[in-house]
Amino acid sequence: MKKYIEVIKTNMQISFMYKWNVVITSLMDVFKLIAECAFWQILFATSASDEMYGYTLNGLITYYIFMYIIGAITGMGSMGYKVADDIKNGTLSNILLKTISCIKYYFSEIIGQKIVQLLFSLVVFIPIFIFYASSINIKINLLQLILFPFAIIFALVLTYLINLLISFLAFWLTEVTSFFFVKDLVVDFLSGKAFPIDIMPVGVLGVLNLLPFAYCTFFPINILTKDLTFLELMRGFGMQLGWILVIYVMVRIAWKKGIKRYSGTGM
Amino acid sequence: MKYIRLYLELIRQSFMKAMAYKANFIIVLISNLAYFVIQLYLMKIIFTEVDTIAGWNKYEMFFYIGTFAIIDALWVFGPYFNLTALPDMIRSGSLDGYLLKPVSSQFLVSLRKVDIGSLFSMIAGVGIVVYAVICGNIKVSLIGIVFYIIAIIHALFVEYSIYLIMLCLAFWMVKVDFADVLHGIICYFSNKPADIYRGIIRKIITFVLPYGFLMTIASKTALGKVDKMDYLSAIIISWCFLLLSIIVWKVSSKRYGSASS
Repeated sequence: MKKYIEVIKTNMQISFMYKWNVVITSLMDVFKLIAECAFWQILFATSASDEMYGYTLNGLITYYIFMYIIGAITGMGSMGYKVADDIKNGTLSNILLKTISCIKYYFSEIIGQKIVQLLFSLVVFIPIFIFYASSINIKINLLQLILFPFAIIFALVLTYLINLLISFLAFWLTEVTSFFFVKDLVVDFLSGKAFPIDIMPVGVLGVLNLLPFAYCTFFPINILTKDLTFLELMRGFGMQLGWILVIYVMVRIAWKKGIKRYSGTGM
Repeated sequence: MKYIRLYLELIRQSFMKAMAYKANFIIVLISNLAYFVIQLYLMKIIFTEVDTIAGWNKYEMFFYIGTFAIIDALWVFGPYFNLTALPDMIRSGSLDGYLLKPVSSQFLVSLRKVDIGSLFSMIAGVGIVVYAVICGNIKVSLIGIVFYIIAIIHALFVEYSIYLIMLCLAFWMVKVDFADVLHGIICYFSNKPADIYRGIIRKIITFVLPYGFLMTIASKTALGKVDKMDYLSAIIISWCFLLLSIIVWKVSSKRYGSASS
């Protein structure tokens, strides 16, 4: 356990050294938020009604604000590329030689980075909260508020495992960077980072609610913004935990098979 | 003329390299398409609730997205990967070789390799545009197409110039990679017509970071909706940016040259 805490501490220090990169990434999110709000604003101005796809304009602004913050917390950034690099260049061996689990090691790296990122993202977003204060719609009761941090933690673990699983493709494919780029686009789309997934037709939404991606970002946002019933809340947590289990098993299997292949290539 | 022959040779060499990595080829193509497919899908959903947005109807919006796809494909085909490699070339010193050659170093550094796969993305973009024209019953004239192509080339001038200027400034002033970040922000504001923005955002998109403005003008030209003065302003603005990029490059490469000795 101590070794992982060391990894977390080291990564916090490294992330702090690169604090301007974190600030700029958050600023980029702020600009994206402004672009999205401008678009939805004109859409609502054009349409006759106050509501579209079950959202009011304020509902959408609220959605995007929390989406960017939660997205920053759960986003895995360039972890996939780093793991793939470690595999390709053989630097994975350095980790294997130490008596630690790679899965836990990479997770500790992420935790270290996330702690610093969260700090700077919140600071950058404070002006946004003030500016959009009148538009933000939160609907949450006490129980949901207490359980919300857990939803975030589970979302973080789930996103981590999904990204780790995909980055293990590097054991089999020589060139994965372009693949990661598609993966980022598609996963973002399926998790609700391009737009709220419930504006899509009911059939499509039904499928997406069975997949793990909606529970990485969309579900935590809904806890804050939609008046979820107790049943919906428990179902969401159930899906998060269920998928964490399934993907963890897949990660272990992929790891076993991948590591055999890795050692076989004489690194 | 010399530069055209040189560019054709650069294309040939890149093509041969690309053929060696067929799988990567296909994946890059898919990733380019994925982004635009998502944009098109969003628009399809949006237009079930409204008929027009800021004067653009569904098929005109598809046309805009197709235009964005074409320009983006050409951007990735030509300058993009070359420019992203520039900071490393400066750090490793391999830029020296390009500064010593008898042709423009800016031309070589910006266009030395091409990404053949993007040509397929461009074809997909053209496909989207053609689909929009046919299904939207859009009347396009030959003159409109000519001016459309000219506007697309000028949109590329702007995109290239902004990126190169940011790259040069970032290298000399701050060690932060903000060329990519700024480029990302511009693209985000450009994935829909500039008409949807108002106030200060609109002014910034038109005069300071006019990539979206150029794209909007290009689309409007083909759709027959463009104002002649707007078109002329767009062309002039893009040439200003291109000339600025040439000046910034000359200053930067001189300073680089004197620093490394």
